[in-house]
Amino acid sequence: MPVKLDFFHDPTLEAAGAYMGRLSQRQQIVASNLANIDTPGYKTRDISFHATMQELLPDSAMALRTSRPDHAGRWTPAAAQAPVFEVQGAPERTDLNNVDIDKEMLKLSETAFGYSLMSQIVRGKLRTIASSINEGRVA
Amino acid sequence: MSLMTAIEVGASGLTAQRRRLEVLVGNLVNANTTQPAGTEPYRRKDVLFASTGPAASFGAALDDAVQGVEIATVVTDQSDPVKRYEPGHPHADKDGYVSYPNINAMEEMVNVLSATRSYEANLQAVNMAKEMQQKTLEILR
Repeated sequence: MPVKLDFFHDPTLEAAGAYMGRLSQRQQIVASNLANIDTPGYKTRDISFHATMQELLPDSAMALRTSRPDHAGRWTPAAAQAPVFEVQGAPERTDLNNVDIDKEMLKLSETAFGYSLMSQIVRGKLRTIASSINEGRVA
Repeated sequence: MSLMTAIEVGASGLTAQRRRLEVLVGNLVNANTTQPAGTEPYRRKDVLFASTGPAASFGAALDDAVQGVEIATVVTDQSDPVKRYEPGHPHADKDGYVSYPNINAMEEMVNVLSATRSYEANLQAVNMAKEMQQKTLEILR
């Protein structure tokens, strides 16, 4: 059976793209937390970051097979933006601000690392395509 | 572009912390500023931060979530000036006391450090967002 190559609906690219969207959203929120580190009453915000692969993957060979409609595994397009929530239970300062600079810095590098990783994956995938265009010669 | 938002928000933090530093340095340099007796001496100032709504370019879905920061007001400390007995001072009152601003250099230095660290944190956020944009561009290389 010939391998069907559909460059424009590639599950890896779509998943990586969705994940990068989430990462960039998270970076904005971390930037917002850091900007408001001295704002009285400001509460740390975050998104449920660890989206499942299932959520990010399009319906394809890589998605789970389901035998019933209520089974997990049916693909719904990943929302471009994850819902934002305020972090509960973090210790507050006397000005009722609960931004923890160390945690935010960790999130910052975590997010940048994830983004870098995803961009490498996308780059690798595009190279594969370029290689097949060039009949196996490295582009 | 969404990563531009992260940079904009980081920049608002940089601006706010820099202005805070300016106010704090103003306190430090005026620690020994006296005024003629009977007039109001210099009083220490501090800033109050407030979150700003997102700029027009921010995504609608993120309306409340991503907020920049700005300096809402510059507040003046209302505590009494420190009186020192210096009869020879040109600003001494009739009893020989000079009113010095109620500035504690140690306290100001701690605030200056806090402003510096917050500035660094915001700078790091801007740099990371910049790095991420760079990674996006590298996909095309």
